[in-house]
Amino acid sequence: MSIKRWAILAAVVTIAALILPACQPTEVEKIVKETVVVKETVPVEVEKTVVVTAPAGPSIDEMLETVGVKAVDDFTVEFTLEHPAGFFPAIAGMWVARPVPQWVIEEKGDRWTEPGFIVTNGPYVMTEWVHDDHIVFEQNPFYYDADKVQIQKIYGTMIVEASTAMSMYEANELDDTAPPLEDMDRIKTDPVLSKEFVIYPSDCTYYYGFVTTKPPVDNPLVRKALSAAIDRQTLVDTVLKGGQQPANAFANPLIFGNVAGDPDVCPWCLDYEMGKEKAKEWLAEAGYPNGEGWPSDVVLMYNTSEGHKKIAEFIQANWRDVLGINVNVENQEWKVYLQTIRNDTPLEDAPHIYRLGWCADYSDQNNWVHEVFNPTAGSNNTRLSADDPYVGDKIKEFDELTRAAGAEQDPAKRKEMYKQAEKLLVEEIAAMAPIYYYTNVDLHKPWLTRGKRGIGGYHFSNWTIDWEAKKAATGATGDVVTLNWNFGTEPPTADPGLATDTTSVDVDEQLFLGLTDFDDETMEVIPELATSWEVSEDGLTWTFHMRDDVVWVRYNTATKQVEQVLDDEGNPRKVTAHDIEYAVKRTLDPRTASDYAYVLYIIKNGEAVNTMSY
Amino acid sequence: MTRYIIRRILWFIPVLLAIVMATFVFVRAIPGGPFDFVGDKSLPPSVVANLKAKYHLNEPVWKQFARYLYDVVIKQDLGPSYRYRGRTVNEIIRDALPISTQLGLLSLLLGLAIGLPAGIIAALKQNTAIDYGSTFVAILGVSIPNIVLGPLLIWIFALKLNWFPVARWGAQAPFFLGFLPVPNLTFWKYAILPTITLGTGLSASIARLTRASLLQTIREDYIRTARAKGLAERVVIVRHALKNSMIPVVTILGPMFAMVVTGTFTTEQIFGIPGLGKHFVTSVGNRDYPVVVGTTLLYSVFLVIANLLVDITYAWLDPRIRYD
Repeated sequence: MSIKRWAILAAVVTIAALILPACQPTEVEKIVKETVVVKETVPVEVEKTVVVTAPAGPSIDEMLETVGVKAVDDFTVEFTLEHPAGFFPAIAGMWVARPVPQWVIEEKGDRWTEPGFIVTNGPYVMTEWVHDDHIVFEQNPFYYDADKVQIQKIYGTMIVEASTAMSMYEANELDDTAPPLEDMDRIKTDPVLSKEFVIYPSDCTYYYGFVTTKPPVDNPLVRKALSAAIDRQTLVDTVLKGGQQPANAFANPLIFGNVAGDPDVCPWCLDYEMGKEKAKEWLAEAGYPNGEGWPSDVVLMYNTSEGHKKIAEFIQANWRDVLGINVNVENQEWKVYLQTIRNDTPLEDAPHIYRLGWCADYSDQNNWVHEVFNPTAGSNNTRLSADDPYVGDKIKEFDELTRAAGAEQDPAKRKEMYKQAEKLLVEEIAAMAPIYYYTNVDLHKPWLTRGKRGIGGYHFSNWTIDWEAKKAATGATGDVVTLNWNFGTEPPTADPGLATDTTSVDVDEQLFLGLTDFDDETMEVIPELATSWEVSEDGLTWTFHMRDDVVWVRYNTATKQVEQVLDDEGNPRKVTAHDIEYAVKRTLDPRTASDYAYVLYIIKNGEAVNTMSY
Repeated sequence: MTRYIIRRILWFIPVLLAIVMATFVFVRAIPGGPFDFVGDKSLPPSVVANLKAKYHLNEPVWKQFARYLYDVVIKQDLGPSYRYRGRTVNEIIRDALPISTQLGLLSLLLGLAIGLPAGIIAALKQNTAIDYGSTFVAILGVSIPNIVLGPLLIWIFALKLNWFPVARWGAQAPFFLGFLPVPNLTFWKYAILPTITLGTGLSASIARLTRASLLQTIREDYIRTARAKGLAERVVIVRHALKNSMIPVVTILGPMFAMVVTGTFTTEQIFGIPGLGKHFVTSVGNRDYPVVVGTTLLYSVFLVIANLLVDITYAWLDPRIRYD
């Protein structure tokens, strides 16, 4: 009887819960409506190139034909852009634009990335992928630069828990690990571990954003005062402990056009003594001398995490000590938090100050000041608007500047423009307070010679292992030079068109070549599949000339051999411009549902086709 | 009895339906969706719309639910994972569940092997050094969380003594009967530390409950009667006291079984074991709706079956319990 009663009650509750939300328009429907509005403008934009015969407008396949990517011949690919973009070679090498095997994807569907099916062209092939446990890469003997690859095999585990990975490292089960913060003091004093410890710069920036329409932080003087009163160096030394670099601007030191550490930009961010004085002056000027009259409801919000909490409390104390003001620290679960800080959240629900980080998709300032803070083209969580009563003119200037800098072709001019943009962003508008540039802490065994993690992933093919030394120390056997690596998590995908996270990107970097790549040391764009490229006078057409010696390979799970894929005539199938054309169109096809499709919106009709509904 | 079992099994249908429905609706009611952001980056509405269209999230909830129900019931398809593109919930469960089941069953066996004797001895030797000793160990076992015990065992037995590998699991699919590994040396080397980590906590609960229940039973009138009849003490304890005192223990074994064989987050995380435990937890943070609903459904199935077995066991343990 009691079971019966319970079941009826549960059923009633759930039916009610099901019906109630269904009665209202959901978030989904709202977004669909927005997209429909966007779509209505599409035919107007494409009228010049497409003859619209059916009244319903072109189909997705027809629109894909108009996308600005074309194989001119087998080894020349041409891109036409929506507007000039000096940073386009960086985009052209991104994972979403890397050639993928059309015939395998069409045959195997979503399963095409499984070992045995997957066809690749990079320095390694995937020979094993036991989900949530490990992934194995072996050298691709047909890779064009195979002679220079020394590490023949990579055994990558997916240990999430950093302390477990640390133990595996100490037991010689891993050649490299990212040590947990709790072990940092021990590592720095340990005679062996301290020699194996390295701090690498990372491509991310940690910052606080201000909701610039919410008093009292609607006043730029208040924002500047809050930014200047942060003791960044002490924060790094006492709380973070990972050798992070205090930040004076948004873009990370690895990014083209960055002004990190430039004393011309936000000097008070780096000089705390100066910052304290300026902060007090600015706050007084804004009408809160020594914090008098400061409202009691100002909120600093972060996503729930012990690390963010420590930082928030440190900065809260800075503000109390220097400015005499109290700021309330609150936190929310990640996905809820991300909703809260969107710029369409009602102002009363938004915090005054929020924490976020930003990591590079490609090494260019366009990916930073423009895509994040531009008031009309960026995410703009800080709600900048040219109507701002205090600094509206500066915001308008910033808007125009980041657009112009993206279109500019001359690298020197671009750098100067981005410097101005950063000055506006952190000094004049003060939409955000840069806090620090992330680092990667790393421990690696003496027999491993490794490089940094460049933007776009690790280049294991450039690393070396002293195999005899490793064998002697760990008891490893055999002649196959093997790297024992920890990916730290299951890669959500090995499909370059769908990758969004660093682990998937690291996997893709071993398997798929791009037209361009980034140098691990200088972070500059370097040739990979493309040997050279040029841009037309108007900056709209980019032509890439490709190598003709890159072939598609597959790992045969039965014979355990890497095989070349043959074409209809029995010749090795080469990676051609057609493969690139297919890959770019596939990413932009809305049916692929690629998260990162938007980075290719710069390509002509890219956005138009990606926003079509089906 | 058969009628009772059939009736109970038929009741599974509305119960599981209600659970699936509630999970399906509530997980969608949590603010934030699976595709709003990647990392710290917000996605343009057009990209979000493409993703939602691909997974039919642009439809009304009732329609999504009808679609889901159809797929689950007719096609036995629990849907795609939103987070692990290209993997389905069926594949995730197929890959991860056998490993969790291996660890869970081993730990449960260890828990029983330690917990039952310890509890019985403690009860029979009440207020002696053995009782205090085993009670102390039981309380210690309950109080030391796996998150402390696991790394401690790794540090002692893997790093300092070098007896076992630090982490991971020593068996890989295919398995005998779908979940039984080849019990070779490699398997045991990897299995021992996580089994101890998970099993000791279970044994502590079992020991405490066994002790309390047995203590209560041996004070019952029928035990006095049995003794008065002149039965040997061994027979009194084993036949009369122990069997009846097992009812509370069996009651917790049902849910305990469902819990450990479907994966334990902490132990699997510490030892880097590719089990199902993490999917219960991370899928909520990722708003990976099909994985949330699929794992919840799986757990519910284990739970209702385990509870049914518990109820059937009652009738065997205590002849006074009748279901017809």
